[in-house]
Amino acid sequence: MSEDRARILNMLAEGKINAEEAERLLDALDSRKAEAPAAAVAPSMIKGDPSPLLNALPKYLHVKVDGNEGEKVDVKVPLALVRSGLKLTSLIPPQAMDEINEQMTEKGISIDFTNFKPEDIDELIEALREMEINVDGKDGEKVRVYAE
Amino acid sequence: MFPPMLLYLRFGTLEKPGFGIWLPLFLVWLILLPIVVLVLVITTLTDVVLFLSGQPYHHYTLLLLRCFGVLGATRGTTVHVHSNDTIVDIDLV
Repeated sequence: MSEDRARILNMLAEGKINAEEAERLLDALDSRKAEAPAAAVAPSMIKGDPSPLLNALPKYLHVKVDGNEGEKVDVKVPLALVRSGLKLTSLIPPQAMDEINEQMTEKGISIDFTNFKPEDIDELIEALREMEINVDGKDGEKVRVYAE
Repeated sequence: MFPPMLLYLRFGTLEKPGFGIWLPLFLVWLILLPIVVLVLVITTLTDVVLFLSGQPYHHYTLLLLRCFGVLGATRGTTVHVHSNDTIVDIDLV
């Protein structure tokens, strides 16, 4: 068993990564070995602790629309914008925040931004990694929303 | 995080795809820099006064810095719309 494989399995056993992440890592390890058999001179394909790679937060939110008449819309929004925006909300003066919440409630959006805490932001963005929305319209249009 | 330095814009149609324009946003930031510094000085003084007078909210400087953070976070945004009669490309680099 290679050193990298053993390290991944150890991380799985210690609960640092889940089974899905371990499988993804092992697949990546196998594919990299298959792609570069001549690189056998490098005994360790992954140097250092791979957990930062595993826990890397998604960077962009993609919205892709393929219309039924050939229209294509591709929007890429950095998730750093979401992070910065939510951090900003924690600093809005209370009076202004009350006004914002009131206006949003009037518009039918019942999100209380006073409940957002900066420490929850990364968790929220981490959860977005698993999110994928696929909509297939009856006329052939397709909408795809995902984070990567 | 630095704000976007360049803005790429292209508007056109399939018949006339037009040409893309790179706008040097960094020049705008350079022009605005003295104003930003002045505003930062004012908000810092305001925060100090609010803090000394015992006001619970005295974070206007931080609020302003976070606003710059939001501006910087827009870097990397792209919007591409291609339809039968319209081409729109917007890139913040």
